[in-house]
Amino acid sequence: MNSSVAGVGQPVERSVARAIRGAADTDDALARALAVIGTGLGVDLVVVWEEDAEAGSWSCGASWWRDAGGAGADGLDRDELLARKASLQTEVEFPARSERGVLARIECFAARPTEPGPEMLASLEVVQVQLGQLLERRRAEHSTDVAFLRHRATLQAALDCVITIDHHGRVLEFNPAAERTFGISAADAVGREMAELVIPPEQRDRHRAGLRRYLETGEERLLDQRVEVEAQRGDGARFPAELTITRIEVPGEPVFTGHLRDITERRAAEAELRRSRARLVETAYEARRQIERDLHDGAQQQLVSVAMTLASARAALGEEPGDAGELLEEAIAELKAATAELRELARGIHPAVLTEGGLEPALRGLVRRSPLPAQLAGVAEGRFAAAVEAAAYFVVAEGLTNAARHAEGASTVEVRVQVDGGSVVVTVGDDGPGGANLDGGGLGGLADRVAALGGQLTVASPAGEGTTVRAEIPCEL
Amino acid sequence: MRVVIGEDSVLLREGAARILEEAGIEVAGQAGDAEDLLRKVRAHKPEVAIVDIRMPPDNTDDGLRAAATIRAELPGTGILVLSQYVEEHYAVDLLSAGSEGVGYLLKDRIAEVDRLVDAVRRVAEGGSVLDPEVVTEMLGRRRGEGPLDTLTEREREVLKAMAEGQTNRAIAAELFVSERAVERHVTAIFGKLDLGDGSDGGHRRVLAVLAYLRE
Repeated sequence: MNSSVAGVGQPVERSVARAIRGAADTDDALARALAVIGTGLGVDLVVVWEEDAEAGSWSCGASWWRDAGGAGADGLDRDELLARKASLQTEVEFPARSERGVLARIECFAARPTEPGPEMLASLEVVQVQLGQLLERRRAEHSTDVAFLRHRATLQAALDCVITIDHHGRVLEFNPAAERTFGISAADAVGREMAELVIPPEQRDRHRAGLRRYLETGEERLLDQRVEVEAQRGDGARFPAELTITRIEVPGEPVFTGHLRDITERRAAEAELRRSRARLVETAYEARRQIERDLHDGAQQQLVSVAMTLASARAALGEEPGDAGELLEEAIAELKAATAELRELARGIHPAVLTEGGLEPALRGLVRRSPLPAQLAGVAEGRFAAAVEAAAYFVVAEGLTNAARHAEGASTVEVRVQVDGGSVVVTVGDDGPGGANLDGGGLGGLADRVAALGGQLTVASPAGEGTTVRAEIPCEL
Repeated sequence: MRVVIGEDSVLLREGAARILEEAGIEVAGQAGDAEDLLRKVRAHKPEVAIVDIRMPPDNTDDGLRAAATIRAELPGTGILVLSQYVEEHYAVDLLSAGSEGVGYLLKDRIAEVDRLVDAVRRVAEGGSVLDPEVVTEMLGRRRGEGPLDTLTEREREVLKAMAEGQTNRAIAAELFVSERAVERHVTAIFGKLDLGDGSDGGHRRVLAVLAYLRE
């Protein structure tokens, strides 16, 4: 079993991480790491050869030998090293890598031949990255290269998590924001597979497959895009995150950097915004219902009552009513018109039938009263939240009014209400000439109302194909 | 004749009761909600129950539900439903339910003494009553060419009156023509609309006309 990937029984890299965490400074960390590696491999001498690019030469950056029981992170003098090496033979050699590529070569020597097993070889894959980070850190501490220092400082200060991985998906770099967000120290993170570290278990294989596909085919689905993903902290807690992955141009094997931001708060704020908008619509809906109820229980009844009194008065005048009779009849006729008008007003504010019978009978009434001939092609069965039904109703009402106003030459309008994927989908389509410009009409206000319920209202009016108003409103608020 | 009135507005209830009493119809009981209505109808067994659709406790279609219960328990009872709004859905469903002696009127009609009294009497006799407003809407939405367009103006008037549930005699009185003339119009209309025999002046005729208009 490949221990460095499986995440269990990783003695060497775990010990290296522990050694790094417990160190006083970077040199100390490097010395402790080399000791762990040397002991673990069962060798007698470990030498870190660092490349000096300008001088084009290699020099010993750090070393450890068994006799000393300790390490010389400052490095040995070349002659002394050669003297020690003379009695030993090279056993293992591997690179130390960072996101910038190979920084150093690690050579291990032993007096007696030793053969590192497959588990050890797997561990070394991780160890080379751990050492790479230590060397990067030490270089930063001693560097006078402004550009390099600026890069390091930016990484350290960034509020976004910055995680760099190699082509195996192994973490090369884990900045402080990532440490804070995930609750994992850089020492523990570096060298481990990123998928195992920050991605929820059931999504890891998809991530690995994506990386593999990119490496094999160059086909990129995720690179340079902002995507929303679910991430997992060290303690297993999950959170929504926004992630952008880019490939860094370095020589050798590909290296990727992920910028990740915890968007828990933003999500919460968005959800609260959605809820508060829905509450506003709900409140407006309730207010309209109340007005209709008040009209029903109040003014409408009183007008009928007045009409009864007038009728009685007219009857009391008998067969010879005279002028008073005419006036009374006039008053009765006007009152009748007023009652009818108030009835239409109340219906416009809130159709009682919607509350009583739901969308189907309410829309049937609308279609029946439509100035343009209209058909109800189908209405989804069942009841929905009151605010959803009201929004759907007014979309149809406004759609029919618009069709009558704009669709010259249209002969029919079709109204349909369906449930599709958790949403109520309302369409009002005419067979007119299309090309309608509906900006600034009553549809604008309706679009807001639909949006406040988490839905969307669109108007399509291609020339020659009629106009269709379409609203999609989530069933669940 | 005795009726029970179920209407939550005291103003309208008392007013309707007064009008009916003046017309010689005994108001045996008045109820302000659906449960009280049921109680009083069971107790008084009136010829007609006048029922407001929207009543407490739920203020939705409590009246309609109470009406259905009354029809089930006391099938001979006439039902006159009062509605604030013209809802063809309710109106036609109510009348199409098959039973005789059912009426649907806009609430405003309470103030039209003759119409209210007439509706109560017709329902009591097993006739059907449909508010003219509902019929107007049903006729009004018909557009384009169809058999309805082949009707004469007078035939349309007769058709509308039939849909309202009026008898030939009532139609004759309203249009100032003889009953024989009305019968001729009815035969012509049923022929043009291909509705078969319209000589039966009762509930079946209303149903046939409504079914046609509803299409």
